Amino acid sequence: MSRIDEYLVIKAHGIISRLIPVQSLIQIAYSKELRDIASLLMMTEYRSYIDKIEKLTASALNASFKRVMINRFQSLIHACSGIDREFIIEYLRILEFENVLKIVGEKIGSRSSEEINIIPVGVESINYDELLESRDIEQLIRILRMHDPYSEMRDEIVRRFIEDRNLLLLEYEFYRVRYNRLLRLISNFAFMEVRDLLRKFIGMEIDILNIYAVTGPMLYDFSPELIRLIIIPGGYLLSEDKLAKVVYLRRKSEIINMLKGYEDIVRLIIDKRETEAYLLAQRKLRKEIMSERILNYATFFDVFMCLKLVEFEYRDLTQIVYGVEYDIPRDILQKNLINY
Amino acid sequence: MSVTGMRVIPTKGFLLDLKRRVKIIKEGYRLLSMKRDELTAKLTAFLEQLKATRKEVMERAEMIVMRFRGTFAAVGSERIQSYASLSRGIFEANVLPISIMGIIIPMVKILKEIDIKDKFGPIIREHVYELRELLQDLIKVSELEMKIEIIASDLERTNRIVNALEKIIIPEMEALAKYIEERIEEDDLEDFIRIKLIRNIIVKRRGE
Repeated sequence: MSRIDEYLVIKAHGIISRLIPVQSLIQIAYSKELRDIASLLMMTEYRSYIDKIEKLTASALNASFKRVMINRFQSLIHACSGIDREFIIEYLRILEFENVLKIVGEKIGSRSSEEINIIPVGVESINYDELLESRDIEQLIRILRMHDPYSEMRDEIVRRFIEDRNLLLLEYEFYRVRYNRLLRLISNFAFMEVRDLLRKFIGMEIDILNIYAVTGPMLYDFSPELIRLIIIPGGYLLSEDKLAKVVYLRRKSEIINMLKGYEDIVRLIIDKRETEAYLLAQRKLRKEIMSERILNYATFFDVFMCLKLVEFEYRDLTQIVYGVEYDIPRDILQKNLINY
Repeated sequence: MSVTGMRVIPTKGFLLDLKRRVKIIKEGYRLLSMKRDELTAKLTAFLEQLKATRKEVMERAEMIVMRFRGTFAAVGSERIQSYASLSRGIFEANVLPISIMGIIIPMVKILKEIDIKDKFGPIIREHVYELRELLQDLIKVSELEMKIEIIASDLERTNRIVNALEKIIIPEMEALAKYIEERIEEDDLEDFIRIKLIRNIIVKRRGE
């Protein structure tokens, strides 16, 4: 391990040590109002952003959580170089895609650009203003495709998206591009153990997205042909061939049988409890990552774990903020936390 | 006599005309009472239907909103917002007039449904389908509420007319007819007596 790698791992450990402990998260989840959440977070590094909030709203708090998450990722990016750096940037790309999807969605809905609130990630190759000022969807897509990684989008997907204004196609294409790039980068990592572990967890994420996609035809009469198009390659337990077959299945038992390894998640999706399935999948992922922690101490896996834990904390805090805002019963809110 | 707007002339011609009018009004009263009964039956049926539908729809709406709040919290506002923009301004409905017993009530006809097939991503799609069904049910409930409101207001008007006919107009007109009859009878009797007296006077004069 080089000195730079060591520094990166130490940096990741530092970030992990500053994450909010589970018990504190549960305590925050029991807040009566947003002000309580803000005051409980005053002792953490969220303070610097919360202090700047003029009017305390759920979206303002959520924006400050996002900024802290981006800062943490940025501090890791600045602590490394080469393939490690590329991997973290590519991992962070999910936030850029969220922003782009938001702009595209609002453009389709003909919302004015002043109403769209974007938090830049800091690794983008595109200029959001250029997208916001685009005349129409066609021009927006043209601008997007001139930049990396959007140039990797498939022509057929772009054509169909422009024809149908189907955001699902674009969302899954973004995922496909991101995971392809992540998997390509993983194969360049030096240690086999790290490569296998990263492939496993990234593969699990892909599997979960694919499960949602392939159950669409049976549950919501989605077009099988369209779903086959959006299946993301590189899954951990579920091959593309297997998934392509599931698309045409109509019996629940057959689908559960085909998607072995994720039966509990699939059952929830089939029961139309997709949010619970999503939370279960995230918790499962977290549990699996944590179980590998000790065996793979002080490797790049620690950095990956840090990325995931930071993301989970952000997702949990978002959930708490909106849960408190919309008065979700606190016992349910607490149980829904990924870190629970 | 206070039959509104009617100039009373105690003649046989007027009596005949009055009797004809009473007969027509009684026929109208009979038809209006039938309409009232029919409207009451319809209103009761619609109220029963509304009671059952609204309870079910409200319970479902509450559950859907509750679940959606959970999803909103879990997924975050940004993803929901991106997809929410897709369905803006693509639902079209027309309100058509239909007639029940001569009363114009609205019927909502959906012209353009929200096209959600194949379009929504994981987690959100579940709520989109639920909310689309809920929207259709809410339209049904509001249509039913509107029907009830219009029928109820017409029933109130019909009831008022029927009551006015039953309790005021018909009894007053019958009393008026009776009064005219009595007046005519009295006049006839007076004439008879007067004729009789004149006849007696004439007979007396001839006898002299």
